[in-house]
Amino acid sequence: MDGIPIHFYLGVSALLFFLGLVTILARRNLVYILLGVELILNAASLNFVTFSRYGGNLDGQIVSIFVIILAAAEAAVALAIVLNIYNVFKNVDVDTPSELKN
Amino acid sequence: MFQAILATSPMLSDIQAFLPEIYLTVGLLLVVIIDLLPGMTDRRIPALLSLVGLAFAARVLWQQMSGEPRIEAFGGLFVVDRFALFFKLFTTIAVTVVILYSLAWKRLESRMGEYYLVLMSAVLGIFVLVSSQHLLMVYIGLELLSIPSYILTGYFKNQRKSSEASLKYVIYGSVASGTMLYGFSLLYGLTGTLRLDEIGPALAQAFSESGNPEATALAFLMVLAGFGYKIAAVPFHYWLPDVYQGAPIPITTFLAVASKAAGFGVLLRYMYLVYGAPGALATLSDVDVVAWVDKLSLLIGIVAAVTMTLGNLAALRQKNVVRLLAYSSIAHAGYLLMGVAVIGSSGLEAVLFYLVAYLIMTLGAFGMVIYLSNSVKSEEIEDFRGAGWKAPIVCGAFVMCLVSLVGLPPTAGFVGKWMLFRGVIESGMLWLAVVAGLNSAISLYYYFRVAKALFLEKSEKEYTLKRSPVMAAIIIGLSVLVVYYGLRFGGLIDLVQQANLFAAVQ
Amino acid sequence: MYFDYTNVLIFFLVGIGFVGVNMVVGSLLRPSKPNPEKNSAYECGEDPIGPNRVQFDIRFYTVALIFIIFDVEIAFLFPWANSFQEFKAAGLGGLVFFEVLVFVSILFLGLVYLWAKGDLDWVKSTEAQRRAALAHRRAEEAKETAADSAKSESATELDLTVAAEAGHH
Repeated sequence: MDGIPIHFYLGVSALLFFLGLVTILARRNLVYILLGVELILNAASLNFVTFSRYGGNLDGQIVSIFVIILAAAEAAVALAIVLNIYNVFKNVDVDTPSELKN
Repeated sequence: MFQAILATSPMLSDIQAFLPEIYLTVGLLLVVIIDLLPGMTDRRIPALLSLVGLAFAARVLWQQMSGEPRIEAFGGLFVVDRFALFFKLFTTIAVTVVILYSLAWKRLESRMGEYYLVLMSAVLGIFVLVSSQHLLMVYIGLELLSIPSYILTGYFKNQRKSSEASLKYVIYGSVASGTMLYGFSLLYGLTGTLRLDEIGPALAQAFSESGNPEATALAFLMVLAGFGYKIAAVPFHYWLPDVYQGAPIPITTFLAVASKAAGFGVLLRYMYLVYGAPGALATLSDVDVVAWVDKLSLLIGIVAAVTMTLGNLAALRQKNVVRLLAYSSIAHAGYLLMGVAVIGSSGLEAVLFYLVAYLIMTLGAFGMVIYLSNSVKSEEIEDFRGAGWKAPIVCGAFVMCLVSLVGLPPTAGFVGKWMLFRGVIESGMLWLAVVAGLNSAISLYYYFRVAKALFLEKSEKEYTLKRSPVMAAIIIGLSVLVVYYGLRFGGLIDLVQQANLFAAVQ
Repeated sequence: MYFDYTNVLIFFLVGIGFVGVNMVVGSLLRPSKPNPEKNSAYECGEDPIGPNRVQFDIRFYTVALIFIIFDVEIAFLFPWANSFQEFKAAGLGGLVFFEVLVFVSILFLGLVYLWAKGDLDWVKSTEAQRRAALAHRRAEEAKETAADSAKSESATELDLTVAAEAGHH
């Protein structure tokens, strides 16, 4: 593992971050948007673990555990809201709910 | 981190510092238990329990206020200083009023146990957030505040507007917090530490030694994006009008006052520790660093100017009072950001003072909306026509709050704005003060339109205004406070000076 | 470094071999009595016949959401268990154990809350669904007919909701 330069990890994490961002911006399905958010969180998590591995203290790994747990909590609430949107609007397209406008 | 905690072994003192949060937690667990017991169906019981929890927390906060000026707990993760106590007491007051509003608002009827449980978790999130001195704590606090906010926004789950609002909130919110977290990870990579007070000097050192301004700037901007979403600064403001309009009005009040203030609290602490504290970036005299610091100030100044202008211009054409107040809240975030742009002793005091003024006048304004919408069953301005003469004293008090929101004397809003303007001009950003002055003039128009509808226009249909002595007392009390602090602001300035992070150093 | 990858390779090979051997042994030993029900693909209790974009039963999501929360919270216990000895050596064993008890009992309270509210019940969900469908139908009807009398005073909770919505249009 020591043979792998840190840039590789950072590159993967940056890639994950941008894939997440693109998913959020390009997809219309709410469930995919939530998947994009998870990608962003995982990118950050990977960064934390990488820096922890190469920087020499454990803080980053502890953060990544918290990130996983908070991400699950957030995902649960977000999915519940999406389910509710489906119940109310009969659709999980991001453009369907559009009652609140100027 | 564990070694650090072990080293500071007397954990009991840590727990003492954490006592307000523990009282809140116990309060919300009691709400859960009460909600499970059969026969406890009265919707006032959970509210009462929450108020008791808040009262216990407030008592400890008050004791801490006269205790040591600064306590670090849990190995420096958590800090109890005057600044944190200021925001905690602020939140306690705001949430007490929000709970009273929730009791008074007629449309909240079912599932009240859940409502207060989730509301109190959000309060706990604010308490953690404003006390955190560690990036992990900032993230936990922010999520603990945000996740309950999403739930509360979508509280009326059969209503289309409420569901839509919560959806928009959760999507914008989770993207912003994810981006912020990525920024945190970059900061961690640049400095090797997660403690905010260590990040500042480490970042300054890394900056002046290796000169990695791109990575530093990227990390900084990503973190600011997360905070910017919480305080709804342009360009992270899209969610705010929809969320405020769709959420139950007491929750809108909570988001507008407590949540926004918490956002400013953590933003100010971050800006102070990472940026403005001794040894941090803004205090270095290196030429490159000075240029970088100037650029960041200018950037925040521009964001402030755009935020207030956009908020005020959009508020001009609103027909719904809640939406109007939502845009006005964006504009006020812009005013407050002026103080952040010139972060320094006077800028920080101005922000804190203006937050108190903002708390009082915004609570008053939303209280009036609740008072009227109980009778009118609507939040459109045209439905409020002629209401002023049905309840002249309360509506007069409301108009006083509006005067303060514009920033005219003799109100607290005026004093706060004056302090902000002074701070900005002292730091040589005259253009920003000019923009803010023009914005205040614009805002006069739309606030006046609401007052005009209340007092100078005739109602088209007949209805009787339901009396609510508690609500009336709260609104009148708030307007008295607005005027009182507009005339006798010395005590409040003392409080704000105590909470000043810059002053605590000397 | 290369040794690590050899381990992985061996692990893969053993894994594939294990599955292959078991399948072969199983097919030699078991009796063969096929019927249509048995031959159809199993899909978590869903009817596998029809278009593949079927709507999943909403109850699965509810259970999954509840599961994921409690599942992931356990991740907190691993670092705790790992560092417990250290704390114990420092004379803080009791306190640290008490803290994790508090943590677990809060989780447990959450579970009890879910149970009491009926969210762990398979049946209640369908009931909730039926009620939601009914509420939706009533809302649709009410919206068509009662656009004018939207702001009527005496209203049940549901009607009030509808009225508030209709009022904004």
